Amino acid sequence: MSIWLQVNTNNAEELTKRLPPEGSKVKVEFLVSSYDIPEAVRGSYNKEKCQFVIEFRYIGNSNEPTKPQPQDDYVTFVVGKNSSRLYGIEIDVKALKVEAVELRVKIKDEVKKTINNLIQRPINRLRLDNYWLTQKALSEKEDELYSPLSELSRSR
Amino acid sequence: MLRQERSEKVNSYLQYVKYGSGGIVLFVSASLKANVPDIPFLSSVIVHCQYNAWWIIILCTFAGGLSQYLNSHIGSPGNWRIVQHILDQYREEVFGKDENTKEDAEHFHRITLFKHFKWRWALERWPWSGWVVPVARSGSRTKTNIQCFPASKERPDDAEGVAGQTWARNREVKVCGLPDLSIDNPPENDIIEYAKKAFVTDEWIRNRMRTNRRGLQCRSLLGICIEVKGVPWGALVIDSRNPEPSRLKNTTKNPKLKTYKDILSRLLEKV
Repeated sequence: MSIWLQVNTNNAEELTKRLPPEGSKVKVEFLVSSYDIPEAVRGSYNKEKCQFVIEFRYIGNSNEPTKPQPQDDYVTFVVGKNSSRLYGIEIDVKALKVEAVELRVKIKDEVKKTINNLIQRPINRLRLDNYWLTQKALSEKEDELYSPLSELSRSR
Repeated sequence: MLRQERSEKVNSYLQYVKYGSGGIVLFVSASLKANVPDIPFLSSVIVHCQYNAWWIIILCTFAGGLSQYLNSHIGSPGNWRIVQHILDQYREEVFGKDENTKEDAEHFHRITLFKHFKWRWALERWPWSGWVVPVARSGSRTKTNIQCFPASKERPDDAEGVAGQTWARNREVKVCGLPDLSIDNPPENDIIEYAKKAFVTDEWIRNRMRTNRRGLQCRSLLGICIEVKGVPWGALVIDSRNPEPSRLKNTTKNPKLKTYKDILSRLLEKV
């Protein structure tokens, strides 16, 4: 199993909303709930299922039950049963049917495409911040995250 | 009364009811098969038990079940003591290490845990519309007459107070630099401004000012969402007499506070 890659949590600050001051000294801010900010991400290849799995780690909620939410023929999101928070992404490598050299690029594109779709058509509108932050986390840790795929390409 | 205090007071009585009713059911059930002895007092007791067994067993089983339900509904005192300790540690981390606030009295800066209930047992106009109710507070002072706020699932825009808004928006709500309403006869504009920015009505502020001789002391608030297994459970509200507490700025990044919040989420599964 690969190691967890710490994510920069400052990305959440971009999503802070503020009430217009209207000449007042009182500052009112609405910050993203810390439960929606992914703390770490990791990617691993499951040989038995032929799946590349991306997982997100959050505070306090690792005990929330999850459910699979298929997006297309290749990609399945793993979301929280109660919160619809994104806990993982499973990519069916076998179904992709691509050459070993293209694998990494193809999977990256698939993930990008489905995450973009998720932001356009969210499973739960209340979790839009979470989907946006997971997208940020993926692009931030892109190189290390997909490294298990390079090893897989070499072994094929 | 806070849930934490209620648990301490009621728990032992509920335990007595549970074990007492269990014992009575056991004795009455056993007496049904017993032969009536010749001993005068004991024979009359056993005859009474046999004659009234049907309703005693039903009543005691119901009482035992109800006390068990109430016990688990209120939460064990042991869990509430840990919740209290976490709130105290949280307060210490936010205010006890800040040069500007560490010398202040305990009740100048407080942390209150609110739980969301669909129904509130109180003589209110809309008890069924959804409320955030205080269940625990840091420190040992100012633990009575804490306000509850409406927070309806159907009308989240109408949620009141920072606690209600935090629950309704599922976001952390930070309000800093509130006007000083602890002075004599504060300007009307300040009352309106305070009410608007603290998500309450002007009337609510005036009522609080009438009941508190020293007026409203709180100058900054931070509402933090609390979830249990992915479900919004309530809110943690930090209130301070300091209009700009420096350590309130980065509570989301503080690893210690994250750990406390994590423990709290797991602990609240049991209460």
